[in-house]
Amino acid sequence: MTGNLEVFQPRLERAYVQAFLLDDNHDNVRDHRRRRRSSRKSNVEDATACHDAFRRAFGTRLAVTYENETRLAGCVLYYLLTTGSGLQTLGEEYCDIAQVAGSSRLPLAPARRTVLVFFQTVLPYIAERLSAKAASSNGYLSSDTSEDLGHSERASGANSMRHTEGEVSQQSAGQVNDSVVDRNRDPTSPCSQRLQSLWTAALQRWPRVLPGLRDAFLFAVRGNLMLFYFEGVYYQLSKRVAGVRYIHMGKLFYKKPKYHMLGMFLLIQLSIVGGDWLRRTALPNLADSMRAQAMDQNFTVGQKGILVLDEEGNQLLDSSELGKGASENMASNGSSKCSLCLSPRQSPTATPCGHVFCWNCIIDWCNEKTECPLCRSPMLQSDLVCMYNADV
Amino acid sequence: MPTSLASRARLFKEYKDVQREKSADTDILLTCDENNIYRWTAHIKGPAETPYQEGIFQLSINVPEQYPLVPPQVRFLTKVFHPNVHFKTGEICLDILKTAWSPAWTLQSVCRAIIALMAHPEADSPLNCDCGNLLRSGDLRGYQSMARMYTRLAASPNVSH
Ligand SMILES: [Zn+2]
Ligand SMILES: [Zn+2]
Repeated sequence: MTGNLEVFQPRLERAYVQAFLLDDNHDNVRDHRRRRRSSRKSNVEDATACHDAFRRAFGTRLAVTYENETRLAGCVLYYLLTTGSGLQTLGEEYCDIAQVAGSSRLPLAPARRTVLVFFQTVLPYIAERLSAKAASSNGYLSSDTSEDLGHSERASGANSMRHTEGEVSQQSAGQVNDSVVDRNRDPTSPCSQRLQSLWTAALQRWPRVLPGLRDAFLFAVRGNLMLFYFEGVYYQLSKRVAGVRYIHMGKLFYKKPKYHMLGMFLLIQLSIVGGDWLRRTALPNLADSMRAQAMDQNFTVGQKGILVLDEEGNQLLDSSELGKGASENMASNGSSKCSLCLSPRQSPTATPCGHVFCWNCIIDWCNEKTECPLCRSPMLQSDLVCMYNADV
Repeated sequence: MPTSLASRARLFKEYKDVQREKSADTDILLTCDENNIYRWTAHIKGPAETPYQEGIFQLSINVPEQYPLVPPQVRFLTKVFHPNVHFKTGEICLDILKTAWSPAWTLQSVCRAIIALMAHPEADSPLNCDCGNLLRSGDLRGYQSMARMYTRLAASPNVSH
């Protein structure tokens, strides 16, 4: 397996090398490195190399089932043997750079190295597994959740399925090579039951949180990239979180390139995305609450109006009259009053200029003169639209 | 008689609005004939900083049955020296009362338009030729003193009562 490690040059690191440091001016080491580099395979081949070894050892069936896991195992091994044990990876060696603690610039302590390896390998894997599973089990859950999850022969098949999945994610913590899956565990033991119900509850909530979480993660990754373009320190989010940076150990033969333009573009893109997100999530809530407030105010104004009418009108003492007065008052408050008959609009009808009157009022005026009573824009009787289906 | 019904209903609305907003617009006092809703009288205050200042002018308003499809007939009962008001009959030359009428006008807003006309005489379409000539020849002083005199004579509350 260690022979295959050379092909596990991680993709992001290579991107880093290409984007930032790789240059032909490394004269003295170039030939040597070139040889090594040419022995490396393409990305796709990289990914399948460890997988290939696994397939030969355990057969195609298992290899297909645990494709992701074998890849993860390869990555973990690679990083443990390089970063984890305080050595350079191939890419780092190639470019004469080494990882140091971001603050002190000293070589990495074991704890920090472990954290970094964890961030770089296991965490992305777990996240991917969780989201994929949530997506696939979504439909199944929605049909099953109405049942009591604690008991059931009916769900036993599903139980064993979930069970396996749980184990797979446990395996992701590093014991992938142990491919023997224990399917004989008693599914009704109280501990596993509790675990299962917790797991199901998490799954139920997961799909709702998932899209937002994924967006947030992508946003963070891009934000990190933007910062990298500006300051040129942390290319990967994992390195930023672990506080691990690169320093160049050899001689610099060329001027360090600047990528501020790229950073600016990313900044613009991120602010647009962020603004859009704000508009979609935060602003509607704000608007809702403001609308609610306005409704409250309208309501109190309406009540005041009724009171005023009450004091003022001797004729309005009759209760039916009072109701009429109130409705009229409301009509004058809103815009639902026809400016031709001065009453609430009957069969509201719109002119091409957007003014609204009663159907009868505006038709009568149209026979007199073909212009809008309010703004005098010309109109034809055939232009009038009675708004049967509008709430005006 | 759908039009007369419509005009009655609308005039009744206007009446109620006038009653409600009586205190809001102190320049205009609109009253309706108790027996005939088509006959109205208006008392308007002459606009400030014009020769008509401090005068109270009485208007008679005849509302046709086709109202508001056709404009009301408004004329001055009080003598007024103004280029757009006929000196003898009190007839008013105002576009919104003729060709530019729109049913969105109300009696109240028509009175407001007449006050505006008093403040901004239009010498090019005179009904009172003498007054129009005074203005067109640039004799602003002559026009103002004539108008002020007639305001004192005819529109002064002390004199008329
Ligand atoms: Zn109407
Ligand atoms: Zn219009």
